[in-house]
Amino acid sequence: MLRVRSADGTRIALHEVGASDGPRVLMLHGFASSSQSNWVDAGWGRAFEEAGLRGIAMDLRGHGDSDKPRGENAYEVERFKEDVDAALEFIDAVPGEKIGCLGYSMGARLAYRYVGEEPGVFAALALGGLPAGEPFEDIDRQMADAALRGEVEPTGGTEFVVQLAKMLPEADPTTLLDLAFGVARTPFDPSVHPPVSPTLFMTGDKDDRADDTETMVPLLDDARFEPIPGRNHINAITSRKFKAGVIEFLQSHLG
Amino acid sequence: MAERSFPLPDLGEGLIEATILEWLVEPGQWVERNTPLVEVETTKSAVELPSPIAGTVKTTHGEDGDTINVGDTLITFEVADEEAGIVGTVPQEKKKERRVRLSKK
Repeated sequence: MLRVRSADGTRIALHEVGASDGPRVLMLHGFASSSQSNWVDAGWGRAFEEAGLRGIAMDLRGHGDSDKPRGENAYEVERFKEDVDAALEFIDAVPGEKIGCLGYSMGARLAYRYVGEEPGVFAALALGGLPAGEPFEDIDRQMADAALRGEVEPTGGTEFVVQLAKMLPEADPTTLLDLAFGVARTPFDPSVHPPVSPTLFMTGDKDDRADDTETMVPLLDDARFEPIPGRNHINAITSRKFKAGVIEFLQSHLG
Repeated sequence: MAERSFPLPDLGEGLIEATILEWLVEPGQWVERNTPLVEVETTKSAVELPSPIAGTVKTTHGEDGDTINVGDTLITFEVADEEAGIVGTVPQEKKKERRVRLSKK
């Protein structure tokens, strides 16, 4: 693991996952997860190693081994894009080198937004568990803070975000709320700057948090959707079908 | 031949049980060390557990969808007699400390 510095000074952790040689793939995990939990524990290291893919997994700011600055301003979408800038600066692709990107959920959303504005950075984009709209809609910060203090029962979107923020004991729930509310200031709209790179969408067919992934396919020039059979938002990450689909796709575009 | 069994490991975070999502091996199958054995789901995430040894799978304990407790037997291997009786655990993936390389290749 090493850390790179993002534009605002936040240190962003990068982990090597998979083969030590081969095409490189930037890996972006989901909200309230980490490179360790989303990729390593779920077996992506072994899968990538076998496939000859060299993953560079980034801990999103506020997660894992990256810094966890306080306050919503630290988690504006622009800050996350600068984190990807810093990771790519480290990766320092040689001319002609094809780099891939694999993201899950919030990480997939970040990849989608990043590539939309920086076309050509990635030769292929594999996006798992990505809903077609903004997942942190109608969230209320006062309610969320009160819910963390145990004073109220949160409802609607706020209940969802509080539940996620409390999921990882090593994470600080207040920081994760800062993050969710910071990111939500720029609601996700997939029709704005859709990626031009070849894109594979995969989502569990029992994923009720991302049951509309397929609706994004027509927005992109070169995209397809494959369901992950029998899986939901949490347990899709270990699926053989998910791994095999992503690997086949990345190998065919990065080779 | 003798048998060697491994329990469901402590998955951390105070979790006491996990649900079997999908067995990736079956009885009679030879597996190498580190071969993925099973996917399990906790309330928080999903984890793939690799084989702690090379050997022939004798019994997989629990069906897909079953909930098992940490410490309950997960898998039994057939091993040579001299390897029997060794107590072990199914290892969880350890945090990798390898540095991301600076080189292009």
